[in-house]
Amino acid sequence: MTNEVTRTGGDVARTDSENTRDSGPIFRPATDIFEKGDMVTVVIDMPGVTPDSVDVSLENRALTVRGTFNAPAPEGYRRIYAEYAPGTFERAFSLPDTIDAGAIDAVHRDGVLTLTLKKSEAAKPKQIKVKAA
Amino acid sequence: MLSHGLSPAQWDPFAELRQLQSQMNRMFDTGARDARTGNWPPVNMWLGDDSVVVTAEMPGVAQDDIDLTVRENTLIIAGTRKATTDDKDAAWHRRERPLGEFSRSIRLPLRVDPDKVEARAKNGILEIEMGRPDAERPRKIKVKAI
Repeated sequence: MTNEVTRTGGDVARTDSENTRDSGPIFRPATDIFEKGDMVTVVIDMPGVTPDSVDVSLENRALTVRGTFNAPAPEGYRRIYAEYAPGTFERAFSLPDTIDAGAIDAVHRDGVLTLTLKKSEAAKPKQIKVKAA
Repeated sequence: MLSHGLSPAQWDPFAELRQLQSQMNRMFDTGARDARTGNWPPVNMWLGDDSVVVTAEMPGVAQDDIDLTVRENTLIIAGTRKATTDDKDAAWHRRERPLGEFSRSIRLPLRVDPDKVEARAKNGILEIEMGRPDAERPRKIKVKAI
């Protein structure tokens, strides 16, 4: 369920657009996916990304999440050590047909993006009553 | 533990290299990460005139779950990163986000006053600002004309 799309970006010279250069390197955010009942929850770590700059888009059942963060220097300080750098978190997932594409809920809080996906009505297990003829 | 062999005023030629390394690790990192390795959370350090700032990437850690300790020139960031769900019935498809207890000890380039520590969290980034004790601030000495 919710398989990850293998990215080919970078193999083609043209894909290295201005956009990529502007926002720095692209990182693959750590993600948890779990399923319970008729809900699938996708939890993505995006530290430093403000809620209004998170972009979640769905195209042909490919769900792409994107968020750019910059790690600005605090006023009056200069950097002396760094383990993380500004850049873009990006990851794409392909949604199976069993997911209702119209009912995706996204919440970004404390640098964590949580997507709640619902299984479509058609995909829910149904009880078929056997009638006595 | 981060160490600074050089005096803080000196440029650290390896800072960029270390950053590159962690960037590369992040790009190719696929497996589940454990917060318990002592390298979590990743930090950046910034130096001001009389203070030092440590910023740490800690997405999803509630402020109440962060425990900060400052002593002389050591900062310890400890706490617990809770699992997304405790539900035993949930079926996992992917589990990459580090979780569990963590503790990271960071050596600062200067001694700091525990009373001058301020910590803020925003969008999963924790910022800890620490000031130098007043007694250790560099002082300007006026030269008098006789």
